Formats: sequence, C-alpha cells, structure tokens
Amino acid sequence: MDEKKSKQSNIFDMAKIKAEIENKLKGTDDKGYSTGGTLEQKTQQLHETKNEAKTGKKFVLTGVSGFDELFENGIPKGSNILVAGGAGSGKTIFCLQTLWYHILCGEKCFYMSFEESEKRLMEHMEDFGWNPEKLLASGNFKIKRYLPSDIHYVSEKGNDNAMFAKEEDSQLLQLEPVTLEEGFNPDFVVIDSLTAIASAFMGKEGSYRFYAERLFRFFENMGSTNYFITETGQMPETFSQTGVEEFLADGVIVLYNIKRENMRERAIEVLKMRGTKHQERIVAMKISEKGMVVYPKQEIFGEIHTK
Amino acid sequence: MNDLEKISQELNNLPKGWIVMLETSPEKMLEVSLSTIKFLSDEKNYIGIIVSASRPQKNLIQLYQQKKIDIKKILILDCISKSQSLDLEEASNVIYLESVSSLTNISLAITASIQRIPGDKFVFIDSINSMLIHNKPEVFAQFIHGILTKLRIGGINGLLISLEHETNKEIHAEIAQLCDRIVKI
Repeated sequence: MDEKKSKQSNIFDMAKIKAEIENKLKGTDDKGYSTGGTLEQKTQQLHETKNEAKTGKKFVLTGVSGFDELFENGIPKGSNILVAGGAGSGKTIFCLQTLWYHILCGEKCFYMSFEESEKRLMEHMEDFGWNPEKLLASGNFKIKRYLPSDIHYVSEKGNDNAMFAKEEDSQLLQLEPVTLEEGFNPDFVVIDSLTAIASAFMGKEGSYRFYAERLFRFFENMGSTNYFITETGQMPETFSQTGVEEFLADGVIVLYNIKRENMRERAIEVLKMRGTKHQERIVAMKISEKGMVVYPKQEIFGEIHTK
Repeated sequence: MNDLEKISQELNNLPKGWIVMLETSPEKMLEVSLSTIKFLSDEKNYIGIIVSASRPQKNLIQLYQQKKIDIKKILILDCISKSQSLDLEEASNVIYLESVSSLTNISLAITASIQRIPGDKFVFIDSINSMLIHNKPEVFAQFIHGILTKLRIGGINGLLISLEHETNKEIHAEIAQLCDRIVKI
C-alpha cells in the first residue's frame, strides 16, 4: 500500500496539471488555434481532413478555436453570413480572427468598416498578437473605412428600365461599386456593419430593405465568403435590423453576452447555415488574450432570453 | 459504528464510478467533509477535485493540514475567493473560478480537471446548499445533471454533500435520483 501510495503521488505534477487546466479555461492551451505556432499545422491538417469530395461542394473554416467543430463540414464557400450580437459580444473579434486565419492560409481578405477606423481595427488585432502590419505587408489583407453616407442615392423617377419597385418616395438606390485594387479579388469579406449602413437610411426603412437585398446579391456575385456584422440587443430575439437580412443570409451566427447575477457569460451558436449540418445549440465561448475560443461540448446553464 | 466507519463501509461497498450524496446536520458538516476526503485520499488513494462553494482555499488548506490530508493529492476549484475579492495567492493546487454562479465555467473546470488528472479520482461538490444560495434551483439541477453525467461517462467517482432537511425538497429529489446512494450521517 505504501509503495502504491508513493507511486501515485509521483506520477504527476499537480502544479503542471493546474497550469494546463488554467490554460484550457483561458483558451490559451497549445491544442487550440490560439497559438500561432500550431496554427499553420492545424490549418494544413484541417484543409486536408475537411471533406469536399462527397458532395462536390467546397467548404471553408473560420479558424476560431472550437467553432468549426460545430459544423459537419464547414461553412459552404461563397455564403453570406450574418454575425449578430449585442455590444461587446465579440462580433468584430470573431470576424478579425477568421480573416487572420485565412490570410495565414494565403487567402485574400477584405475588411469593410463602416464604424471603426483602420487604426482602431489594427489595434484590436495587435492586442491578440495577430500582427496586422505583417498581414497588410503580405498583400493578402486590405482594410478600408467607409462612411455610411458613401452609399449613393440615385433618383430616377419614371425609369422604365428600373428593375426594382419604387419606394414611396420614388427613389431608386444604387450601390456604389466597391472599389478594390486591381487584381485584389477577396476570398473573404467582412462588412462591419449592416447596422451602420442602415443608419444611412434613417426614416427610409423600405429603401434600406431594398438596398440590403442588392447588397447581398452584389457580394454573392463576387464569389467571396462574406460576413455581415449586425448589432442586436444583448439577448436577441431578432438578429437583424429589419428581419429581411436573416432571410437573405445563407447563415446566421449569434454571439451572446449573458447576464448572470453580477457576472457576464459568453456564448455562441450557429442559428442557421444552409448547405451543411451543424450543431443546433448554444455553447460556451470565451475571449482570451489570444482570441476567441469556443467550447463546442460545453452547454450553457440557465436562461438565455429574458421574458 | 462511528461516522467515519459508516462512510468507509458505504463507499467500500460500491463499484468504482459511484455517485454518492452525503446528508448531514449543519454541526457535523465540516467534520463529515474532512473525514470523507481523508478516507478517499489516504485509504483509497484517490486524487480529489474539490469544488468549493463554501470556503475559500486558504481556509480549506488549513483544515486539510490540520486533518493531515495530503494536499498534494487535492486540487481545489475555489469558487469563493475571486468573487469576494480575497487575496488570490498563487498555489500549485488551487484554481480560482469567477464565482459560484458561473456554472458554465465551473463545468469547464471540472471537465478539464477530470481529463488531465490521471489515475483514480473523485469530484466533491461542497456543498449543494452553498451553491443553491447563488443559483436558481432549476438551473442548479441542470448543472448537477450535466456534471454527474460527465462523471458517469468517465467512470469518475462523485460526491455531493447537503444539509439534511434544509435542502429544497424538489431539488433534493432530482439530485437524489441521479445518485447511487444517499448516506445520512
């Protein structure tokens, strides 16, 4: 018995195990995507293992630790996806992290910001160690800030060639084409945010709905996989400004920042994703010093929505 | 038969991967907890994962040392100190969790602990009553069900302690039906 006791206590180092557990809880353990060194290995492995062959469809991953395990295959390439959530729920971080992952895979990414400045977005990336200067220098990453007022209105009363129904004020809306550098055809685009764009249509909700549809078609035709950020309440019951965006989008990802007594608890779910099977439950999520970490097997306890 | 003899007899008669709820009076609760941990740690040579919603780690470690429990065989998930803004001194066998009401985080910590600690072990929820102060009963029941299911799947031993007659009857019944045995001390 004494020998067995002695063996058991020498088998492991509790301090080392404690450190491993703490890293797991913080989302900074080496087994996730969070550390840059393992990302390239993980990237190659996942590109090889995620299947495209069976259905002929192509799928993409997000690279957000744990999140891709919510899907059977990944996100269908070329999808338009809403990323919805309240203030501070992690929408921008989710999208930046996804772009970081794809840039490291050699893919072209474009961040269209209608809210934060390029400088501020780069600071966010620096906070997580994603080295935005290096990414920009690679030529695979562009950030551009737009003003919602950059969206032009064209009034063409009585235009017989108009494809779209006129709104009550007889204005047609024309999207100013996105001007990108020649040769830069992004594989992934983030539009941040639909909420900011909608603010340009204050008092003209009908026009906004019309515009949103055109916006989605525009990006669909580009062939890129697109993430549209949309601001909701903290406990959303609807996931877009007007509801039409949820209908138009191929997928909806929702981020939560749930109030528990005097604490906040983060969670994420894939509410909808056409063309692939996915887990249909809300799971735990954290934002660590290295980025977002999702725990696909960890349920959330307690109510999500307030009555 | 004294209390320790009763506890050891009950636990010795169960196959590995048992889930047991200890029920006792407020006066005996501390001694029952310490005696059970000592028995499992010393006699059974189990590593203990203690989810403490009752006492901060500093107080627990003092009590364990007084009882001559080998603290190298104990990992404390301290749910109290951080939320009370107590001094979070670095300790090799203590993990500080946000609060007793951050059940998702506690669940993550328990899962990570049982995955990483090798060999025979037990998880001790101390105590049901303390956790119910900070959590709605139905949410707590959901949490306990989730934890006990994880333990069952992993063949890990589980121990809960509650105050006899003080625990909400419905919740008591819900938790009791998930256990292999209720031991009244």
